[in-house]
Amino acid sequence: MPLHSKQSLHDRLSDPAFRKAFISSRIGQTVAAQVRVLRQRREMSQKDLARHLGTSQSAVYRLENPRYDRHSVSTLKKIAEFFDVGLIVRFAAFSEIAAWALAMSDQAIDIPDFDRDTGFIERKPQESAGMMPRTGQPSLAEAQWRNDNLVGIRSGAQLLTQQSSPALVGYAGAQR
Amino acid sequence: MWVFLACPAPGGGRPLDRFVGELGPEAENELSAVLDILRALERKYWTRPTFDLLHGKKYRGMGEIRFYGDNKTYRILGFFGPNRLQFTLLLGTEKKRSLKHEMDEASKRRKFAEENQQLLYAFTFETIPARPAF
Repeated sequence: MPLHSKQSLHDRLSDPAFRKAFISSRIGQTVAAQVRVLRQRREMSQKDLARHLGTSQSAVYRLENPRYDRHSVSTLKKIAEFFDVGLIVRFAAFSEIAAWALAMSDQAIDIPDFDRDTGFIERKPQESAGMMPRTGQPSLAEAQWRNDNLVGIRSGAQLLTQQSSPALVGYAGAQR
Repeated sequence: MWVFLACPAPGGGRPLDRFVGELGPEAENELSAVLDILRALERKYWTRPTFDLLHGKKYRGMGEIRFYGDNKTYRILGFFGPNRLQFTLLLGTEKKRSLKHEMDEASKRRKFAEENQQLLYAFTFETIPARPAF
């Protein structure tokens, strides 16, 4: 259950002080949690990660602190490269960030690396059991209907893939 | 996904809603972001700095959600349950040197919550009393 409704969040965001705090908290909490979860998923200590990144344990500790607000893009890129995940750094409409916050899922925080990223998998069209009776041979009309719908499903799958792939290249995780 | 529940006071009223309603814009947003993240994470990822278990036999299954805002550090004490993927928020407080009194109060409220599960309600920011703009 989302903690806000879209309408109430919109109402609250009409206050500039709330907007400022909203963006600041989402950046701080999300980056800190993502770095921590990516590290913990690999059963690495802060010291291990620091060694791989060529930095100090205290620098990793700071990155995992939600109050830290001096992230450099180059450090974030280095972390993204190490964990083999994408990174988005761009300006956005409040409504987009609000929609992302309202639809928060585990994959928004626990980002899969490229090898575990299922967003590229093209679904194979399947004949639904509920679509057609399964008894006997289909009539010509039934076969035609089945073929037309199978084409429709295939087209739909292609369309979905075409629509989602460009977004996934740069938006791994954040748009799910 | 986890669901956050809240527990009314034995005498009526919603102390947690009142606590959240009195937070400033930074603290409220920090709390909202922390809860959004925790509700999406597996239990094993509920760790410091945003969450910690309370120690001691008396507080088994209880934990504190930690957040900071408006130059203050806050804690919300709660427990895992009563059902799977539920965490019940019991009491919010500003961090002090010792939270022994608050932990004992939360432990009492937990007992009340477990005995009166029908009174628990889903916590959202929708239930917070109306406030003037910040």
